[in-house]
Amino acid sequence: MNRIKFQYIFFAFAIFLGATIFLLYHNFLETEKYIQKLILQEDLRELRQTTDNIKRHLLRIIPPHIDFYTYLQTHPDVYKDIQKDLELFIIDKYKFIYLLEPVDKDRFRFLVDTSRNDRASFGELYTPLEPQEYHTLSPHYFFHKELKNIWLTYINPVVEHGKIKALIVIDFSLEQAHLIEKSLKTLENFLSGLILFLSGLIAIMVLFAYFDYKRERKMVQAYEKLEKLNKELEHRVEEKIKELRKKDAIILNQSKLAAMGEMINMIAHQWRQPLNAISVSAINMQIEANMGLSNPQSIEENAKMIQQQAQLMSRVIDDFMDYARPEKKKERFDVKEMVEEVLKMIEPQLKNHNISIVLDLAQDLYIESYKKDLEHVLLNLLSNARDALDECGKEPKKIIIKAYKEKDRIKIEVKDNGCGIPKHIQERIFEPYFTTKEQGKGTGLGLYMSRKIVREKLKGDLFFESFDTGTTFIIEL
Amino acid sequence: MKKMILLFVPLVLFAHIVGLKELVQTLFPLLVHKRIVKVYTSPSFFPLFDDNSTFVLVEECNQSDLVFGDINCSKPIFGLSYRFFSTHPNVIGAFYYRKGRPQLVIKMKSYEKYFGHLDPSLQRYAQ
Repeated sequence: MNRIKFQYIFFAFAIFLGATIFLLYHNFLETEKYIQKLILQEDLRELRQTTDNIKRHLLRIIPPHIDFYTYLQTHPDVYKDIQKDLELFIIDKYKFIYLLEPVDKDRFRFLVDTSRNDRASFGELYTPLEPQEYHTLSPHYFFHKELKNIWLTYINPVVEHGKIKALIVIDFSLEQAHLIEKSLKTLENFLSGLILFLSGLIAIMVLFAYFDYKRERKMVQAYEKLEKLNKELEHRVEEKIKELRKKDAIILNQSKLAAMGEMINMIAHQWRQPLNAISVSAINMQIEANMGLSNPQSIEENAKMIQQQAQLMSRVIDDFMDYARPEKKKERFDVKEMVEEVLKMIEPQLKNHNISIVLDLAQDLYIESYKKDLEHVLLNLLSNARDALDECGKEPKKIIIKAYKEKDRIKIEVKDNGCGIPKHIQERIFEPYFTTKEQGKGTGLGLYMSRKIVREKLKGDLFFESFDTGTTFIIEL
Repeated sequence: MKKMILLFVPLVLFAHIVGLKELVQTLFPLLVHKRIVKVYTSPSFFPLFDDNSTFVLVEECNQSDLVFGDINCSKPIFGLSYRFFSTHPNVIGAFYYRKGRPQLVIKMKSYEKYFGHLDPSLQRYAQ
């Protein structure tokens, strides 16, 4: 957008520049005319003064009421004096100074001529090119039609009683004025050329700016389009994220349900033994009562046994309740203790499946993390190992749990000696709803949720190594 | 037709491009009252008279109707300077420049002696 604003400024500047150049040129032409006019005015003023001086001089010498021709004809000495006097007025700019007397409308007669090379004789008839210009009662000038660029003729008449007695004529050289005019013309031509060049340059610049503007506009339009697309995409992504969150919530819910099922299963395993013991005590009490063998001591022993077993069952419930309670704060705990607590929950079940547990847990391996979530993941890995060992059928079934520190990272390994994960499904085992277990046994959410918990909440990683000899899942924190 | 042409004489005279050749071609037959004029002149002016339908160049001045140039001869002369025009008795007219302006003058006294009356269209140049 800034670029476009700049181009507007550029256009405005080009127009301003063009207008300035035009005004300058116009101003120059006006000045040129003014100078030419001024030069002419100055020359005419000078001519007027000169001819007035001559006129005054003549009127002083020649008496009134006598025509000049007759007087000069009869007074040759005056004629010579006047000729010499007029010669004094000659300067470079005055080509010819002469006195004429009108004869008729076309012809005149020379009275005095000061020219050196082209001197007319006294009384010589003269036919000028524009005779009408000479019949004037006031000072007058004209440019020659044929000799326009060479000189102008200035005429100052000597008038007596409304009659022209003589004409003081000066052929004034325009050479100097033309030199100035020529210089001005050269300057004007140069200025015209410069203006033409600048105009061309401005035109090119404007053209360039116009195309640049168009290109910029296209870019802005493309950018706007892109922005719109981006917004659409953002919207879509948001929608997708919402959808995924919904899905995640469903998965989480399903995962919780699955975990709950697993927990119930484990509680059922844990309760089986105390329930048997309670049942045995109850049967003993019933048999002793039926046989009349019951005595307060045996009743007390059986009741104590039932009480103990009931307490054991209650502890199991507490443990599981504690495990299932959501956790919001990190806590510092010993990894070994955490593993043992998990084992307490699942070990009876593992034993029931003839699976032996081997522990290789480093001492004093403390970590600050979400304990319950880690327990949840570990429990899930142990359940998977159990199912994998059952499915494989290899004997003896064994799970090795290792916990150790490596390069500032704590690693917890769950290794089984099963048959390993087939290569073709290795890439998919962390996908949600992916399971190899028979229908109704697995949800396909365990590993997906475990990795999600480790990566997103515990800020660690969960990965695996699998061979024919078994699979190792590694939690790295 | 000749008179029509003559009306243009001043213009012809003063037009530098047209020059002297056109002047003599229109002026001389009118002055001499002949369709073909025998002219005596110096070789430098021969090109002015190369129109055979109007002029015949003669080798002796006595054979001519009119002498062109400032040449001393007993025949009527058409001079090329005011000085010659004003001093020579046989000069009937002249053409010269004064103050950059072309001047055509005819000396009536001499002209009438040789050719009688002057064509009215040339009266304005008569002295």
